Amino acid sequence: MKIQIKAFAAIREVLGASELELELVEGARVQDALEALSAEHPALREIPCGFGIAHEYVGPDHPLKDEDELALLPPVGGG
Amino acid sequence: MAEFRLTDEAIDVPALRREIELSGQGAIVTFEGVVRDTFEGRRVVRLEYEAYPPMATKQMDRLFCEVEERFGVERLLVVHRLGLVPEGEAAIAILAASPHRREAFGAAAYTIDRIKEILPVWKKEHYEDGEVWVESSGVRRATGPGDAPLDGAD
Repeated sequence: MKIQIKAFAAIREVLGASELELELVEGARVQDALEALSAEHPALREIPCGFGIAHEYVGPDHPLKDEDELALLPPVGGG
Repeated sequence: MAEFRLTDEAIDVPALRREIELSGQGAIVTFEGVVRDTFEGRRVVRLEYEAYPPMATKQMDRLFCEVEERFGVERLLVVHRLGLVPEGEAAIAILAASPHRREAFGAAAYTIDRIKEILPVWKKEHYEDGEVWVESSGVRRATGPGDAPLDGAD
């Protein structure tokens, strides 16, 4: 399956892009997407990462489906 | 009634106050989070915010429901600034209005505390010799090769 990654702040800088496409095997979960990206960008492992799907927070075990948009969210700092 | 906005322009607090005025309100509490110009003696030359706007809006809707349940304020208005924010200007304004002060104080305080936990907004401090992402916990995180990570409580 193919998903869209949206990256923000420190994670965007480490990936060098704010959006990218990621190919994963069927049955993959959120943590598998992060693992695939971390293999290519080891600096990603140093940043705590939260996840959003459909604009809601989800956990690392959340199942992914084709065409999901997965947001990678470093610790927030607004306000 | 609660409303959330993101803006690239300076936050006009008196205009927001006029917006939420209604007859029968005995209390309007205004909180402004203002940009500081130094961190541990280092001069912050620029401060910048970015957001994930659709998720921010959805999370604020959720937060407004929590505030409504807990405090029952009549009006709540939250405006967060994005992009470059000059020193001394507000990065966020929260206005809470209710018939009595207790609910308005409670709603404003609860709203800013929760925003710092859940709102998908990020802040970057630029110094003369580097830049860091500033997390709500006070942790400062550098991603550039020349920037040593800094830790410090806000």
